[in-house]
Order: sequence, then C-alpha cells, then structure tokens
Amino acid sequence: MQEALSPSSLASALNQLRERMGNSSDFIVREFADGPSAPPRMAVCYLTELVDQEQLSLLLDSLVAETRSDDDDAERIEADLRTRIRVGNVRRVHSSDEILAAVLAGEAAILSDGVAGAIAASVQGAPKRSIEEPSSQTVVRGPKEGFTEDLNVNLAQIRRRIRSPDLRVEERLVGRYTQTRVSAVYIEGIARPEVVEELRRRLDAIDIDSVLESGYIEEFIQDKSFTPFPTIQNTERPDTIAAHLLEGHVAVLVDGTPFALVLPVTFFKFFLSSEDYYQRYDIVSLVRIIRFISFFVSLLLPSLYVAITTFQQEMLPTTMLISLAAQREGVPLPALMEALLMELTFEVIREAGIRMPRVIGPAISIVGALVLGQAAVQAGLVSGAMVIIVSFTAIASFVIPSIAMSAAIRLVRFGLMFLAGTFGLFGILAGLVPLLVHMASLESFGVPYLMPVAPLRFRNFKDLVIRVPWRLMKSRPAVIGSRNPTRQADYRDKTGGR
Amino acid sequence: MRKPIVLLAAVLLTWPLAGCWNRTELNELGITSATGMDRKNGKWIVTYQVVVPSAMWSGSGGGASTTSQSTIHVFSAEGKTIRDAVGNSYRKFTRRLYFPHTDVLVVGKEAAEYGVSEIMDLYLRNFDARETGLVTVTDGLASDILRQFVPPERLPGDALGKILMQETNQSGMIPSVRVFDVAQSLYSDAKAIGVPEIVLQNAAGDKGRDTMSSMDAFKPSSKPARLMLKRIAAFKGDRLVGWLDEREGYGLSWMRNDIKNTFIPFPCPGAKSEAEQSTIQIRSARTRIAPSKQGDRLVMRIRVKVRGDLVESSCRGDFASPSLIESLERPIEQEILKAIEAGWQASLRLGIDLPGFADRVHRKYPKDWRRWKNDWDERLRRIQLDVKAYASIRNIGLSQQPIRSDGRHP
Repeated sequence: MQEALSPSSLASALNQLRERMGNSSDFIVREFADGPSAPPRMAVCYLTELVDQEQLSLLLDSLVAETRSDDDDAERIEADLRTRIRVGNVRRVHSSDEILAAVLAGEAAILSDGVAGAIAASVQGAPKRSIEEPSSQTVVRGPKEGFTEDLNVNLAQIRRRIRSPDLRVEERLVGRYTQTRVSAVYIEGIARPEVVEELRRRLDAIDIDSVLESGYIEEFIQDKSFTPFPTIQNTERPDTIAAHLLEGHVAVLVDGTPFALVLPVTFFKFFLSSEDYYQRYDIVSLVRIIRFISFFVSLLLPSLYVAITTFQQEMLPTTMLISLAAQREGVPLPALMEALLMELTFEVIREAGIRMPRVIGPAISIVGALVLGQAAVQAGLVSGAMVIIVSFTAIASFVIPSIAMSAAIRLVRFGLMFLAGTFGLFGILAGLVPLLVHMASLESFGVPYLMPVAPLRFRNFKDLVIRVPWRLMKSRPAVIGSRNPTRQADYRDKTGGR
Repeated sequence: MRKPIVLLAAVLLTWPLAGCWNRTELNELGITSATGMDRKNGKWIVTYQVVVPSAMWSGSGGGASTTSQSTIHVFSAEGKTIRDAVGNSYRKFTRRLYFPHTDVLVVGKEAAEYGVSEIMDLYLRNFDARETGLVTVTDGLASDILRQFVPPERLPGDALGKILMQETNQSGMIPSVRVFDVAQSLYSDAKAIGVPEIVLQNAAGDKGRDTMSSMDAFKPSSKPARLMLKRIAAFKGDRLVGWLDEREGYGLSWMRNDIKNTFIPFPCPGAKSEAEQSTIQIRSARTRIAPSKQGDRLVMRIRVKVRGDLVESSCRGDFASPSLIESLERPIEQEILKAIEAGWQASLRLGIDLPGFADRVHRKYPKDWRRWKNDWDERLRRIQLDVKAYASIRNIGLSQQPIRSDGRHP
C-alpha cells in the first residue's frame, strides 16, 4: 500500500481513503469544488470527534478564502497551501497509509488535485480530562496535579518542571490496532545510555495488537516475569517523574493512562514517597523508619503469630500466653485457619471497597468492622487477638507508598502463613531465606534489585532509611546516577560557611 | 525447568527433618504455673497447678473477669518415677501439660528428705522443663501449698515466684534459688545449699490449715492465713538435713555475697535505751572471701563492704557532723558481724558447708584439696573465721536532725 497517490485524480484518492475507512460515518471528507458540477480541486479529511472544531474552521477558512490559481505545478500548489494554512503543526504525508494514520491521530489531511500525498495539519481536539489531584498517591505537602490520560498534557507537565534542552522525549507507536503513543523520557547526560538503549530495544520488540495501559508495557519490558516483586515503578505524579529523571532514571509515558513507568528501580525505591523530599528531613527519616517497620509487620505479623502460638509458645511471657490462651478458648478453628480466614475476609472487604460504587462505601465499612470483626469474636468464631493482628497487618500494608509493592507483600504473606502454620518459626525462616535469595537475584535494567544494601553502596544510604538534609546530598545516587554524579555545589562554601 | 523443580523438592523434603511440626493450639495446652513433688509409700506424687485461662481473662470483655471460677486447677498423679507420674496424669487431664512457664517447683518434706537428684535429672534432661524455675521446700505436702491462692494475684504459681524474688531483692534473708542452682550444688565441692521454705501460716501461727484454697480467698480484705516464706531448708547433697531460721539465713546471705538490697536496723552509738534505733538501707554490698592456711587450720578471711543510706534514725547528735556519721557506721558493722556469726554457727550445728567454703579452698589449694576433701566435714568444724565489715553511710536523707532531738527524748 506504499504506492503514492496518483497526482491527477483526487477523486480516486478520496475513494480509496473512504474504502479503507469502510465508510465510517465519523470519517468526514470535505470537498472544495470550483462550481456545483465541477470536480473537486481540494479536499480535507478528518475524523469529526478527534478534531477541535475551532481550529478546523480556522483551517477551512484559510482554504476557502483561497483565490484559485490556475497553476498546475504540484510543487507550487503545495508551497502555496503550506503558507496559507493557519495551523501550527503542518507536515507532509505521502502514502495513503500515512494519511490514514494522520487522520486517525486526529489530524486533518488536506489533499489537493495534482499534489501527490497530502498535508497533515494538527487540529487535534479529542475530549480530555482536566488535570486533577492524583488519586492513588496523595501528599499533604507538594504539587497537587497529576497525570491525565493525554500524553501531551503529561509531557507538558514534565517539560514545565524541567526546562532543559537536555530533556529528551522519544516517541514510538505500539500496538497493531491501537497505535498507542509510547514515549521514553530521559535527560541526556544524566541517564545511562545503556539503559536508554536497552529500553529502546525492549520497546521495539513489543508486537501486540493493543496497549491500553502502561501495565502492558511494564509486563513486556520488566526483567523477570515470575516474581511477585515489581521491578518497574509506576506513578501518576509528574513531580515524582521529574525527580527520578534528575536522578538518572528513565520514564515511559503511555498515551491513554495517567500511570507513567520509572526504570530502573530498586526494592527500596518503593518505600519512598515524593513528599519525603518536600518535608523536613528529620520527620521524613522517622516516617521512613515507620514504613520499614510496617513492611515487616505487614509481611510477618500474622505468620509470626501463628508460628509462636502453635509451635513456640515458650517464647511468650506467661501472662501474655495465658491471655492469648483465654481468647482461644472455644475457638473452633486452628490458628492457621483462623488467620487465613480473617486475612481472606479482609481481602474480600478491600476488593469490595475498590469495586463498588462510592455511595455504598460506608455500608461496607460497617459490615466489615462490626459484623466481621466484633460479631465474629463475640460469636466465638475467631479470637480477639487474631482480629487485632489482621487489622494491624492490613493497616500496616497501606503505609507502604507503592501499591504494587504492598500487593507483592500480600502475596508473600499468604505463603509465609502456610509455612508458619506447618513448620512454625522454622518455616518462616525457610520461607524468608529463599525469598531473600530470590530478591538478590532480581535486576531492573542492569541494576541489582537490593542495591544499595546488596551490593553495598554506602553513598546511597544518605537517602534510604533516613534522608539527610538537602544540602548534604551533593551527589546523585551511585550506579543509576553515576553518569553525572554531582548534584549540587557546596552550599556552605557559597554562603560563607554558614 | 526440570532442575529447579528437583532442587525445590529436595529443599522441601529437608524441612520436616527439623522436627518442628508438633503443632499444638493454645487451647490444647495445660499451662502449668507450679509443680509440686511429693513422695508417699515409695512412689512419686506429682502435683500440677494448671492455669484455667478462661477464668484468668474473660473471652470478649478483656481484663480480669470477676467470675468466681477458680483460676487454677490442681491435681496430682503418682508413679514409680516422675515421668511415670506425668504419664499417669493424662488419665485424668484433658490437655497436654506444658511446663516452660512453670515458675515454681515446690518439694514436699518427704521428697526432700528422700533426695532431689531425680527431680534435678528430670529438669536438666528435658527441654520443656526450665531449670530457671524457682525451688521451695515445704514442711508438709507440696500439693497442699499448690492449692493455696495468694491474693491479690490471680495466678498463685506466678505469685509464689514473685514472693521469692521480692524477698531476695528487697531483704535477702531467705535468698531464692533456682533449679539450676540446686543442681549445681550437687556438683560443687561444698554439696550444700539452702532452699527457702514456704508455709501456709495463719494468724495463730500454726501451720497447715487449709484456708486459702478457694476463690473465696479473694473476698475479704485480710485472711488469717497466707502463704509466706519462713525458714531455710538446708540440703546436704540432694537431701534435706535441717532448717535455718531467717536470721541464720541472713548471715549466710552475707557470706555468699547474695545481699543486694536490705535494711539493717542498728542501735545508736551510746544509746541509753532500746528505743534509740536507726535503720540503714544497703544500696551496695560486696563480700570477699579468701582462704588461707595457718598450720593445719584453715582461716577464712571475710571482708564485707557495704554502702547505704540512713533511712530512719532516732539517734541524738548533730547529723551534720562527719564524726557522728562515722560513729553510726560502727554499730552497722557489728550487726553484720553478728549475722555472719549466726549463719556460721548454724552451718556448724548442721555440719554442712552452707557458705560454700569448700569450693574456695579447692580453687586456692587444688593440691591440698585432694587430701582434705576426704575429711572435709571435720576440717570445716575447725575453720576459723576472720570477719571484718566496713560500712559507710552515703546519705542521711532530707532532715539533718532527728525529730526528737530537742531533749524531750523518752
């Protein structure tokens, strides 16, 4: 289908396009003829819902106002058209496929009799959502705007934050049918070229019919599929993306979703929030310690409870043992089943809370809290301690900023509970050691997953469990930001040793 | 893909080898808070004080319940050996007896006189019985003691342990010993140890009246009877040979460097009447013992150093003057010397090496010890003590003068 359109027959070209579109009702061909019966000299094709009506009428105005020149030279006609069209972005398209692609992307194709190919003018105006506060990653202090479904809007938000010519955007279309725009964004001179090159290679290898969300891309380009742990971070915050770009990460934005991808990432990145850098460092450090504690709580608490109460009771203080034993008096299920039942109940409530319409929300909380919590204890089906354990675990899992990571922990938690219920504390260890080995084996675009702990990179500890004040963070993180290590000049030097 | 599966299977198969699959739910455990050992007719009688968790804490409300249900369940089983008795107990008990939380071991008189080495062996051989449990001896049957409540504590076994620990930490007259200490004494050269005696005493002073064994014990604010520590049971080897009163026990505590915190009442220097008394609270105490040979006799050099605060005084004089404070220190030293002498006399009376001199001599004169150990009992009698105490008052409290220093003294 790469043959150029015959320069002489505009009509046949239009017919060919109509046929390709299957005479879709939204495919508009506006023809301009010299007289009522004269053959059309010029035509504008577009998809009516994808164009901005105001820009379109501006374009049509400029075409109608044209004083007909009887020039037959294709070159001249084209040059004439180009100067006349009062639209910002104009380009030349050649084959009928290219014309269609332009039209499908929301451009208007201007075909002229005697001119091969067409001129595509950007008059896009598809309906879009306005910028809103991101719903999945809220902050108390920090920018309140999030990405939208429109790639251009998203790129604009990044560009606005990093006004540097070094910010690079590389776009490609992925998806045979969807032709989704996928953009790799990085900062030349900070991002490691081998990471960018590897990303290009992986993106180019994707050949799928559709890309409807960045999750599609994530699953294709991640290093290892068979792991519960995410090796690519996703965010809907432009400030997070900007911060990561400046550290040497690469972002992948996909048209049609507010969730952008960040890579490469390490395990510890999932415990940081963009707000960590906006608040005072000491408070942030405390909060981060709490997050890591919550990680262990959410991973281990139910399994530790099951293991200790069914195998290693001697580890409990006497009074606690008696108190727990009193609560278990008359509970029909073994502790493991009790824990699994409660965890399952919580998962059901959680899932229901996400899926159901917002208005029913309070109903679910009442049923969840009262019926399943209090009533189950009073009915003697579960022990009170187990409800506390499961609730605390659930709350702790929400402290982790990344939903992808807390989902991973949830998955591992169930495995550990089974091990704890069959082998006690030994089982937990037997589960944790292979888990650690597995995590150490993971990589994200060439960066070890457990860095900077394994392998040790002490420089990165400045921004890990604690965050040092900004003026002390003089360098970018090792490995990821090693291409351009210096982040700032010494503040004290410049202020005269203050 | 085959290799990882085989590897995984191999790893999984090793897990059961750890032997950690003896799963027991909490409500299948009979948590034993105290154990009693008695002997009768050549058989061991083991008594368990098992916690009734639901009576300790009510299920849904939380906190201590006010039910009149007994918080403990006490029962005995007998057998040719102790483990045999434990085995027999399952004929009358529904739960798996669980010993790691046993705080106290009570040994009855007959069992103590028969010998406790079998009990020690049991404790050291089995992992579920903890040798950190405290040991007490009773003049009668251990099973009687285990039935008693110790208001206001809801768990008598735990409360008994607390009494023993409190006594040790606050006064030191009847120092507590752990199962481990008793076992260790069996292997020491002195082969002697003093174990606290627990009695059920009522107001009239006569023992053994069973008046605290129901939940009614919690109702009155004061019951005539209560469990208390009374004397010290002296063991030679693994057998009970005699009793020491708390004063003698106090002296032994000084000699064994067991004193941590105690009150010493002492008469004022130059006191005209019995009423002129003071008390010092010992904050730190240290006893050093060094044996030495003097001809054929052994001399034990005992040096006691104490520091403490004056907490009570009706002495006359100017408390701001260092010389008075110094003169107050002398009677304190005298009191310590008297206590040590009493303890030593008790040891000699029973003919056992309660202060543990044998181990010190063995350490100092390992060669001579080989000769001496055969007639150690005889040598022990001839040991001469050289005791000196050094007391210092660190703090005289907030008031400089005693309240009655205006001459209106009785």
